[in-house]
Amino acid sequence: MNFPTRHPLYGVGDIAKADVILCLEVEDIYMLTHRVSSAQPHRYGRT
Amino acid sequence: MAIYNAFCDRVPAIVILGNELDATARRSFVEWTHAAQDAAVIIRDFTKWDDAPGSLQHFAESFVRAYKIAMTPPMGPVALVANGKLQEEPIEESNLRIPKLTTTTPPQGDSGAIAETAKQLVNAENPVIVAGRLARTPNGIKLLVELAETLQARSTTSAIA
Repeated sequence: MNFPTRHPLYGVGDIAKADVILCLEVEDIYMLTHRVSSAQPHRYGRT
Repeated sequence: MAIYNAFCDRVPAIVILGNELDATARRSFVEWTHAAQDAAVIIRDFTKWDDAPGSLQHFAESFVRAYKIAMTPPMGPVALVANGKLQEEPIEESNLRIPKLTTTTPPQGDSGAIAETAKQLVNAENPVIVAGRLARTPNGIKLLVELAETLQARSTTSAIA
């Protein structure tokens, strides 16, 4: 969020190919490193 | 909405809310309908701290504390409720004083953990930096870029970063 958007290193990082990820004040690391689909069946409240 | 925006952008702000708690004062209709038992409750979810001082000395102490809390990273808005009596009645308290402001050192990571992280980053073949709300000052962004360039670490971001 706070990395300069015109810098050549901006926006080209691929987390899937990274061997080390440095997260700096990231609010939700799980959502960053996992793919969650809203189409997934609801896991709670159903029999 | 402006207070919420300040909270999201981590902008330090001191918000002063006017209020009237004394029902027997029989204030005008407009003032009474704009008063509340807990005036700050509506913004409490997105402010760092709030207080409702009961005296002028209390107000002075709370204001200094409000400034300190708002300015301590991560910065954000704080709120003070100023009761009508404090604002309008003659000053009867004696020896009023403004407390000395002491600043708080911002928190920082454990030096051992930082050294270990640095070691992992230097040894990484494909490090990636996810820059959230790290940099609080222009110099912080400069240092972040310097770190990325030194490591040749690519950066990414997302809606939740």
